Amino acid sequence: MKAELTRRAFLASTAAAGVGLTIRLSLTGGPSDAAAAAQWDPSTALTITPDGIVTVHITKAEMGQGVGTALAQIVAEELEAEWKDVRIDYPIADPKFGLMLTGGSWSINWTFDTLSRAGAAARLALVDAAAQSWKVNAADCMAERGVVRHLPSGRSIRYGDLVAKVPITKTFTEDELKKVPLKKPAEYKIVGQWIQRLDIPEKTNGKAKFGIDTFLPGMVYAKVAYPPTREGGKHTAVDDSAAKKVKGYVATVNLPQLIAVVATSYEAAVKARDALKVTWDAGPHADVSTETIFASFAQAKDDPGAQAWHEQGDVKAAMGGAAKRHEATYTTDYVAHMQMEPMNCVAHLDNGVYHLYTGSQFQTFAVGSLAAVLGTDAKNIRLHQHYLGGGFGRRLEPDIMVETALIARAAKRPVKFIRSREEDLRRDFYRSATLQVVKAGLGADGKIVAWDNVLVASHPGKRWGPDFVDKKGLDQFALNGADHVYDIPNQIVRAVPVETGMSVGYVRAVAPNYTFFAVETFMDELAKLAGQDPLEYRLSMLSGAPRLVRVLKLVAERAGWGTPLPANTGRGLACVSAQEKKTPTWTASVVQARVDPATGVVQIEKVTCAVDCGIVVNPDGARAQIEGSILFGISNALKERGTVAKGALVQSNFHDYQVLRMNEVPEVEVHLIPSTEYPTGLGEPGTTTVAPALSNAIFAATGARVRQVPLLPDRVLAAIRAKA
Amino acid sequence: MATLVINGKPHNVEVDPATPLLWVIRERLQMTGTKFGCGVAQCGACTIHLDGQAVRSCQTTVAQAAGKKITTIEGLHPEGRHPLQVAWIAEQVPQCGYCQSGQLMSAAALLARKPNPTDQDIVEAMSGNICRCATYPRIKRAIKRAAQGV
Repeated sequence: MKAELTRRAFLASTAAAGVGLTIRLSLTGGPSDAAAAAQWDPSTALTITPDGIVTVHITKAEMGQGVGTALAQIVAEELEAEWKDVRIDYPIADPKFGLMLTGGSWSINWTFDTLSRAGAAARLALVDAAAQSWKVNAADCMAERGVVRHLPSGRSIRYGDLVAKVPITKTFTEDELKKVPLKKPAEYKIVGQWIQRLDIPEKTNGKAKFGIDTFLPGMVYAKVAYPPTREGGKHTAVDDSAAKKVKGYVATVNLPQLIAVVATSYEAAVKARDALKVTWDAGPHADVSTETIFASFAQAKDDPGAQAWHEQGDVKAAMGGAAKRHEATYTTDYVAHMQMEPMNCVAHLDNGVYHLYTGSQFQTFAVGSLAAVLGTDAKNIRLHQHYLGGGFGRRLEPDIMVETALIARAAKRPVKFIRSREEDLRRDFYRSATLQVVKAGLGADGKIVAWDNVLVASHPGKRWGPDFVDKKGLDQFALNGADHVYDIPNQIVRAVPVETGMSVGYVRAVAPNYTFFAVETFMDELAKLAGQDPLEYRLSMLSGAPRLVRVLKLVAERAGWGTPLPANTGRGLACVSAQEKKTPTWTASVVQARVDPATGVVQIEKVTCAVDCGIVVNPDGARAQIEGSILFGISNALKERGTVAKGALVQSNFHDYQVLRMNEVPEVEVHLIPSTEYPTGLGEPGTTTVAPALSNAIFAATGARVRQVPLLPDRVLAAIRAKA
Repeated sequence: MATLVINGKPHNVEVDPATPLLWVIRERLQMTGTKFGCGVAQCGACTIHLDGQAVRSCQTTVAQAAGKKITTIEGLHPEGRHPLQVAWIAEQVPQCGYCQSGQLMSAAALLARKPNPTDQDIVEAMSGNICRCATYPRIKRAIKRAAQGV
């Protein structure tokens, strides 16, 4: 695994905005040497065939972002392709594609420059080939809409004909590629256009293929018997005599890692699995509960060994000299992914090669993990990518692939393994529950002079291995956002990672969900303490973030900030630099909510959101992402509370782990700032604004401060009563 | 053995009559447009039509479906050009797309019953279908667009 995914590759990729490590920089395809070439692969990013079709190879997971269409737009723009000739595909995982990872709202940010250059270089090579075949100067030729023209003579040739008939010999070194001239945003014809997504038609007629839609000849169905606890449980004895009597039973697979049955149908596999008599050792976490976890968090917050993750100035001195001080504690509960397609995989071991059919957000990690567990070379792992029926971070994890491959090897036939919703939820990698203590000191003018934040959470990177934590053992993706952009001279953020026995992972918008909940709710509390308007207070401390100032002012204006509202109704705002401070998408939201003071029930009436993500590649797709991310945030903020008992999640399905439905959807108004800045991402930042803006709206409506997410009616009611 | 008439075509299947229709349609007949989401009629991803009514195929047994007219997303329109499917593309509704067959089947049953639904009708008919990507505002717009024939 480590050979596959070096720390350098991962960290370099995550840190470097606009530096394309996800696709190789050099043109690797080489010349098309003969006439009548079947196809031309100018780089790993695209293929052009004699029929003129340009296929852009999408190495990012399609899980609803419309990423394939957007990436193809980037290539087509610089290639000067005719959009109707553009197709996309999702190739089998291969090291030649570099780091195959989809998450963090990184896709456009990581690939925009690289794919632009891939398209531009291919265009230059096509122009060069045409000029050579005509024996004219390439400088007198231009490419437009899939055709190369020689301007003085008016001769022209289509890209497809060039590929079919003319040797294309021009290649680029990495240095040359970096110097390829790119268009200016004002020249864009495809980037920035309202182009329909290429994946949508087949998502309206049942033809779109998700991993779960895979069938192989001779395939059988597997079901795993899972231990009663999320972590650390093991089977100690298995009696499969009753399972064997189930019609359709094929075999029991008893491995150190898992116990499973395979059968000829899904129903038979369920029946046979349910007939297994398994003796469990529940492991060390059998008594873990929500109460024990938060008790351990409360202890951990005072850990004298807490590591500083972000630090500047002298907090102690500044806090001591402050005119006013304030402290608040914020908690958030476990959140599950609840992607609509339960985790599933089809695995087939064929002549020493493992074929896996599923949808993965992190093929590089999956291939490495599979090779390590199966004891084979990575080249023997063939990961066939499908559409993802929701990702949200769940499909970063290779667990289902590993289990299915192990079962297929033992069962010696192709195996399909579909988890039930209950298994999917109980075996999830949750967004960690958290506890944050934030303290601030204000100067006489109300400005913040000192900021001290202790952040207690489980860090997913610890489970993933040493490549995913820093030298202090901290996972930056469990902390991002706590290093906000406000002008505060003295700051410290200390992190205390805690292991709880509940597996944690990355759930849409990841740490900034809880870090910005604390930061942005606390900012509101400090504004109140300083006797200032929450908007003006924020604006007075954003000298380093002019683009955030702009979205904040815009959203306030569009939401009618400061205009009167009926009783028990309030507006709250939040502004963020999510997902990461180095590559922020400047996002601000105003939530307008009505609170029933008798019940604590909160009704969100409207969310207004303004976003500056730089260049927008596909405006309608961008809006869809912002709308969806805001509504995901509402679902998280109002409804989703994962609780723990006996070392496992209590909730089991959509009836007790409820997510947002249509009857709960408020009006969502989105404003995108026109920009020519290098693009960042849109899948997540909107989500992070909702909980703090909502908590602030509840305060504006009632004067009651709710510091726990989700903002459930009993918590709102308790805050209202505490105030009275 | 049971005979299931799906999208106008009879299929003879050798299964326990108590088997959920979902698993027969998906895994035996390999008509995969109908999706498995929860198995307990909470999410609507498996919605099909039984004699024109929207039902959850995960909670409908083979015995209950035998002899009735079963319609899946594949049979909603022969070319996939049902007004709702056209509207779904025009409004660019799907994100991940996994729930959308179920959404479309619920919406189609609504329009068959109420060709001009109010906002309230739409919300009532559609709130049993979960979309984790939360494409709800676009679903609502697409249903109205289809109803108005644009």
